[in-house]
Amino acid sequence: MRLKALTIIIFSLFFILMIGLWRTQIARGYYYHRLSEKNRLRIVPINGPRGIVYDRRGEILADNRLSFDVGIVPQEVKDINKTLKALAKILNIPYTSLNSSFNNKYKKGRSLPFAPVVLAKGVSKDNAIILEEDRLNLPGVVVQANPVRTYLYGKDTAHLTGYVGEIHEGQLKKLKEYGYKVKDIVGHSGIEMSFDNTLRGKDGGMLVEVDNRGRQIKVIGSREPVKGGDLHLTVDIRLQKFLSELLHPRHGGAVFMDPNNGDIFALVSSPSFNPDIFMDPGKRDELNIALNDKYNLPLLNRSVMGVYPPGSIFKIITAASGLQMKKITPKTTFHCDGQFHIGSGTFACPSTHGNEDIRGALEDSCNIFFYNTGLKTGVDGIARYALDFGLGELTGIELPGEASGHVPDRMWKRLKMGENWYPGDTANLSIGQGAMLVTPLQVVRMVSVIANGGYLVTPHLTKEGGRYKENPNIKKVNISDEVIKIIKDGMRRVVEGYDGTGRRARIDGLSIAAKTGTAEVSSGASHAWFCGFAPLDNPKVAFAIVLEHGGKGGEGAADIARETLEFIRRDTDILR
Amino acid sequence: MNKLKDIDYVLLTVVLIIFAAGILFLFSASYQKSKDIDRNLTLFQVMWMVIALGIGAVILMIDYNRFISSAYLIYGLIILSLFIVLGFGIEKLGAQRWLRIGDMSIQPSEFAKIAIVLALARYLGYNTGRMEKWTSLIIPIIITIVPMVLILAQPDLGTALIFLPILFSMLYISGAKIKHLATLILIGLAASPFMWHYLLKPYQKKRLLVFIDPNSDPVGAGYTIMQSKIAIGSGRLFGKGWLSGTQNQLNFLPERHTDFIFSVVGEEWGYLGCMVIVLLYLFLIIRGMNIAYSTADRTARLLVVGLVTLLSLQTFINIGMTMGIMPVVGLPLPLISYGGSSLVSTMVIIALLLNVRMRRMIF
Repeated sequence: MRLKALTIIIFSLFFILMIGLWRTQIARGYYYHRLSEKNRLRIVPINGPRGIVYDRRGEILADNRLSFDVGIVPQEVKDINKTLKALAKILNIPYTSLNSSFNNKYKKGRSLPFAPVVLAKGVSKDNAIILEEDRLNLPGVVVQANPVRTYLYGKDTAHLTGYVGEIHEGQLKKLKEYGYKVKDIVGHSGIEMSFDNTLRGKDGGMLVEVDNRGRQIKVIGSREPVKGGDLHLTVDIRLQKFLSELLHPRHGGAVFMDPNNGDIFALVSSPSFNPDIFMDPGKRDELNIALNDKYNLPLLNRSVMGVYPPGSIFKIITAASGLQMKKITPKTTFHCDGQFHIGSGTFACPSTHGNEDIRGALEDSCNIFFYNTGLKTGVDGIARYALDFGLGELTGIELPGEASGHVPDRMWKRLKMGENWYPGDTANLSIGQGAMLVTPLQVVRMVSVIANGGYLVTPHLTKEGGRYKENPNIKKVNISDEVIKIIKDGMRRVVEGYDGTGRRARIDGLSIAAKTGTAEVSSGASHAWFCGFAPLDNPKVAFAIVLEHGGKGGEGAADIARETLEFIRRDTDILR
Repeated sequence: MNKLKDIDYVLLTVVLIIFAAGILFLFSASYQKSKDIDRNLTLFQVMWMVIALGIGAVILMIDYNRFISSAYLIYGLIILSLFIVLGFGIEKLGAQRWLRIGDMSIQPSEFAKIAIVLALARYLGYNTGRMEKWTSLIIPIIITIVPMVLILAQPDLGTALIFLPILFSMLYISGAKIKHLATLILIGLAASPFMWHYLLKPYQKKRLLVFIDPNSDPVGAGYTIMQSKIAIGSGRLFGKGWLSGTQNQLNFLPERHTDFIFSVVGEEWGYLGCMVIVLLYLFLIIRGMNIAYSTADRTARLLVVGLVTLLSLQTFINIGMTMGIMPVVGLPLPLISYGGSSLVSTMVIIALLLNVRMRRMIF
């Protein structure tokens, strides 16, 4: 009985199939047959534009513009050579290059039939109109309008925004699960990359029926493209642009940040590059130059990926560890006669400073004082404080490829060189020479600890839609208010004191705390460092500047700080 | 042992006719050079059929009762291999269904269907008369759910979903109360939003959504369905002729040698050709059902019912999806779609059916 019922159910399933066949092949057979003749269906893809990137005041940094791409549908073209020649004439592109690009992209049986083969991207609007008007004479030629990324401030924000391009094979493998597909445009660096998932739009498209001349007669189905999510940065584009132009064309990096919460106001790396060259085929030459420029390395974000010996700015750490571990007191003095001996080695100070206490030693950057302090504190203590101040680790900024720098210690030297740590190494470390390496971003974070009363903030570029949430669990560094006060006072004297190494950064009416650094390198002039914050009592901006082979920190780098701080006071509301 | 005369030669002949027709379709589907279809696939398919017939012959020699008595062992081995696929399987078309042994890749999920039918037949057959109780439903459900979840994780939606109708048809035949079965279906429906959310991958959701509204993804999954419908519909009454289907030969049909082979049938052989194929399948299934009617062994009857349900559903879903009346879930058309695992597993089903008929007790 039940067997019979089951048999009837199966019977009815097959009956459904037969009805379906009747409906498809007999009732609607004519319609489908017509569609199948020369296959009358075309896919018209419509790319979803990426989200817009704004600065902190709502100025647009990255937007989309329409680009006209010209392609041909090979099955509709009567005479390929004639069509290519006509295109070459209108677009002013050599016939041979059109021909070879066609042969490269189109292989019979390998691409979907009636899918256009794109031959020229970024065609001018005028040419696009000419082609559209001429389409009856040029059957098979199609013009597609696609949104293309454009950066309103070009090289001034290139290292922040990054750039976009076609997805790489390796990326595709990893991202396939998330709906990425071949030829998708994705971010390749900067926040375009780290926030690709937020920024990328959803592609839409239309399935249309066309007549035998390729004209659209009916839209069979369509899906609207969806614009990607917008992003609001903490950056102030006015400051970013000013700083970028100020640094150009020197080699170096500079970061200005809110020391209280880690908002990045400006992050610059110089020399920079034009991010449009990655999308504009007309700028291929410029792209090759940028990619192969081993001397300028324009694609390297020096503020985030560049590692440099800190030089004397590291004395902030030596001072903090010595004072906090009570190896020295605010009243401890050491005598500087320009030379210092450890074992058989002699270490120098650029000057003879006589008796120095901690404040004075910060002011005139006396090496002898810090050699003594460092030796009393020991490598373990200094290294621990360096790590506490965020050196040797990633800051966690939302930019790809960040470098972590390096804090050397006994274990590292043992493993790496197979040698013991010598007191001479400690002396070198105390003044930021040797194997110690930092990025400008780490340095601005480090001085922010002094500026904000002992908190290690996370530098960040985004708030809304970003990784950063208001009130993160900010780490408190083990450093007392007393010690901070002493170091602040020393840093104030760097700019204001009679012997201050950073006097050139002085601005009337704005109290600045700073530290210079002159990091010796194996060849060429020293790297110049200048880091600090302002105003002294209620810091609203912290900064770090490095100029590769820029000489003394108190010169070029201090000038940049002064000019930028003056700009900030005059033209932005950061200090208000 | 002299039971060769009891083989159902009519059924076997129908199977071979469908297969032979399938070879013609495969030849047509691979006639034009294309990047994802090997031109030698008809040759491979014939080779697989030889292997499948050999395996079928071996199965015929062994009393089906021995398969049923070792059903749990077979079931256990299949579960193990499904775990291995999840761990070390090869990915094809975004799904991990394949296990590599030497130079061959096999698809354990194809054989899991048979193992489940065997295990269910064994349990339900040995518990005859006790199926009216609620609690008797628990173990059959577990037997079905475990491999289903493993196959869903591969992810292979079609194979996993086909298990449920098999379970229900076998429970139904074994005498479970209709009230209980209906309650189970209601619970399943209530739980489906949860499964939608947590079990399905985005592309699977998309396919199901496209089924409900083909225009929701006109450029992606909807395109395949549309092209398949155009192919079948444009065949009209007589078809465009063998090797002459423009949709097929011009490379419009993705996966036309596997899941969408029926589009080639529809376009080139027309409504008449399609009806012949559908009727051949229907004949095969009725012939199989007859075995269930004629055997007195309850366990064997359950086995036959499970296997016949499996064959019918697979055929229905596959042909249905090429016409857009079923969602695209990735099930091959038995005996016709290209693929060794599918062909061998179908021939195992046929061999088991013949086996039961050969050894049925005649009063």
